[in-house]
Amino acid sequence: MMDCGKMENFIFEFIDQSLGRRDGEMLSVHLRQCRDCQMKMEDLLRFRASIKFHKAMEPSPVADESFTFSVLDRLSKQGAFAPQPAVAGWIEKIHSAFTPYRVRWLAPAFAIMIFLLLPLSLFEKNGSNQGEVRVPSVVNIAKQTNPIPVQPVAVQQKLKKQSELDEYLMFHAQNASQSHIGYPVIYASY
Amino acid sequence: MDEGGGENVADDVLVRLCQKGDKNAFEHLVMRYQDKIFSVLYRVVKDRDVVRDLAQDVFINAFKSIQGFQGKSSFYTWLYQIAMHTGFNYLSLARVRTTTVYENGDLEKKLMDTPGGSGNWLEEGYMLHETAQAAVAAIEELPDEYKKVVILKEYEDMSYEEIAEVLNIPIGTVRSRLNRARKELRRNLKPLV
Ligand SMILES: [Zn+2]
Repeated sequence: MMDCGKMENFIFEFIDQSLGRRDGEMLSVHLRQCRDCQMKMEDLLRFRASIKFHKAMEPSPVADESFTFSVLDRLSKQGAFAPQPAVAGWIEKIHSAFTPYRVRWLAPAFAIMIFLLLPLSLFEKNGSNQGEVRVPSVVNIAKQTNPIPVQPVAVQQKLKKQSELDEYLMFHAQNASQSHIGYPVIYASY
Repeated sequence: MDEGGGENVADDVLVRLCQKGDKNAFEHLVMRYQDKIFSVLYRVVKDRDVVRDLAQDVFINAFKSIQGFQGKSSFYTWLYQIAMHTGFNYLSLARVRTTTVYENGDLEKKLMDTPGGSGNWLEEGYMLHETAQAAVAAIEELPDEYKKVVILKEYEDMSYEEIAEVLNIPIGTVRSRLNRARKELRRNLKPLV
């Protein structure tokens, strides 16, 4: 009988999917004529199947929603992080007020909602004239606070600032809402 | 991370930011790996009640020692290294506490604990369940050095190279330990399967 010891290593490599093609052919020839090695192979495959079954039947626990927060909180309390710039610090504070992190997207989403709803309340209301085109709030505010006709440049600047702020908030909303499902690439690479 | 979503940023970039004390970068790394760390800790300690606390220790120790991370291995194998150390360290302390209770009757105990053929199980399903319990018990009986490679290989589906990084041993040693572990497992499982 051929060297069963050598074949055993081939079996292990086969199980781990690292056996080369030539060695694979040698193993398959050997298996056809060696009952011992066949049984070895079967036992190891059965063992692997058992572990797969066990993994499925008894899945490991997963991190709960507040896990990341509690890790960061413990480190923060120990002064492990670099101090954040003032503005970022405030954003962070508002942000972490909405913990656990799965609902943290609410903070920026809430802010955006306010920005979107605020203008509605400031729309010009001429009850008798429903067909009138409504004027966006910025122009409206300018009209109310400024007796002089609106300066188009000033409005543009204001709008620009507003849209920048919206973009900024959008980014943070996106960033926060996506971060908890951010398990990319690495899982596929196993 | 102040620019970019963070979830697509490579580990090494996040690690460099962490080395400067960046909290958001570390948040991304924790979220990226927390479930994997829970998983490997659970396979090591087999106790749901302690996994969360141990996982916290893993990440806290990781951040505190991140200055020493040179990038010679990948971040996640380094993190696994801390997790394995934490898990086995916990086990060795737990063993001291419970040695007199279990001694070496683990295998028999586990086998007796498997649900009996009450009729609800299909014969095949029951067999598979029984075999799985026996396999788990057999891993439990292995010396720690073998158990580590088996857990990383069979539960975490790691390559030899990754296991070598996690355990900080040569690839040849991974292979030989794994093979010896399998021979032993097979010997232990022989009467059962
Ligand atoms: Zn043979």
